[in-house]
Amino acid sequence: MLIWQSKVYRALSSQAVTDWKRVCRQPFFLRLSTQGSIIQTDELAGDRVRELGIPGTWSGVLQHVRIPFVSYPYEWSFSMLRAAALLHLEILTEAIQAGTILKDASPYNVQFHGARPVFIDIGSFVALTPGEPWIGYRQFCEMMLFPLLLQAYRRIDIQPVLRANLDGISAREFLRSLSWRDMLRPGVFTHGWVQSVLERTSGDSHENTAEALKSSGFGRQLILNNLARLTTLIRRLNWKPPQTQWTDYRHELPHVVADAAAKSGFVQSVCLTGRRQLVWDLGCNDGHFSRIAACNAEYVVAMDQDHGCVERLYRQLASEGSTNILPLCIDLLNPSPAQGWRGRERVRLEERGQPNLVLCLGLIHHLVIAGNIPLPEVVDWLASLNAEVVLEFPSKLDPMVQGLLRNKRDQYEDYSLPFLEATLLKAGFQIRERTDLPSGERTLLYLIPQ
Amino acid sequence: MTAVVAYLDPGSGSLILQALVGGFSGLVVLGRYLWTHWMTHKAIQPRTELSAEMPVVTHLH
Repeated sequence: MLIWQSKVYRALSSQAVTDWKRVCRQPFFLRLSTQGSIIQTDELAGDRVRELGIPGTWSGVLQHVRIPFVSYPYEWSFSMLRAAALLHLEILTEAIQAGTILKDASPYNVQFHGARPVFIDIGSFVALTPGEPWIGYRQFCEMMLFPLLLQAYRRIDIQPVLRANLDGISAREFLRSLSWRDMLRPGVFTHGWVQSVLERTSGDSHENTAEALKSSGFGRQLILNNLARLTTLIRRLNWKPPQTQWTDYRHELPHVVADAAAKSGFVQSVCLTGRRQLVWDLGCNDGHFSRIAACNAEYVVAMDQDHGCVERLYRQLASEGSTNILPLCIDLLNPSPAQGWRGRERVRLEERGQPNLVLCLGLIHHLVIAGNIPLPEVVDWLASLNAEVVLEFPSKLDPMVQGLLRNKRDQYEDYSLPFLEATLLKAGFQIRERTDLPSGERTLLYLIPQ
Repeated sequence: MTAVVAYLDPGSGSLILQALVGGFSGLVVLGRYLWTHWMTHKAIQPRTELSAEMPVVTHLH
């Protein structure tokens, strides 16, 4: 994959060209591409490749439609990972019926365009060798099935599991988090326990198991049977997000209700000053302000550290078929870093797209008082994004701030509006607009970088 | 015959499991696989035992 002059290309070897030419004409591929489940892809003619000056010598080059904002499985909510798994199974089922197979089963092969999962790894499609088992089955279990089962059965959040283990978790590690009672739950005994035992007992074998199974009469129907069972299992998985202090936050707290109309109006007036390419809504909660921003923006990334909030927002957006709001589980106190080989495989959050507008509503007191990040540091980080900002500042008399200070020594002498404004100006922001909200203890600022 | 190879290690146990979860026809495949596996193992083992008892030839004339 390479990004050249802001466009996304896939460089192909001669074998990959053969695989591409084969799959791109298959009816299932054309149908899924047309409906948006597989990324739209065009093959570039040789003279066009030379004209573009794409570096390297390749047998072929494909051009993909660019996904507005790249996200990773360790930033997705439960239903997002489930949607990615189901999409993978659906594509694989159709591919196998057409004599094609996916050579791996990584959730990184799926991206989200808003709430819609899209399969992006065109290079995964290869011809199915008769008698060949599903090579990606173990990877599918380790990277998608087991994390989903852990979330559904044990309420172990998928994000830290997948962020710490980029290749997923083995059947053995999966079983360690379960009790004996969980063996009776669908999928655990077969895909977990039996797989773990077989892996352990067959580990010393020197034979080529895939070849041996092929000689024993393994056929594509066996893969299809397994895929059908996995699809049923994953469709039935459910996780009920727990009620946290952030559930129904906007409708229950008196000061939030009092400020709601004025806050929405302020955000809307800022959004109407111009159409933005990319908006970040930090601490998005139920996505109310993301939706306001989305009315006049190409794309909105709605981030919240609360898995339950992101899950509920994703479910709503998915049911509406939304394609311009991407909800992600991001803890700004510990955002996604650069990861993988040499830190180059997975890109850090700030390097995946420059926002034009950042909504920072009901957040700064959590970063400064709950997270102990010095206020000038927060301002410095916002300035580093080089974007316009809508910033909400609750004073120390605000009920939420008082709640955060209740059991703490107040060592936040510089947490005040005058100090914030002075720091913003020093960091290069211009305060274009300032409004005090009706609750009396919150101020909204519209900031422009200089 | 085309060799079945992949850039991903599919795991021997995970491959065998695919026959097990494949329904009745999968069990037939698994039975054949285990039979072949057992026969191969059985055919190799006596030779190993015999070689252990064989005298070591140190000089050849």
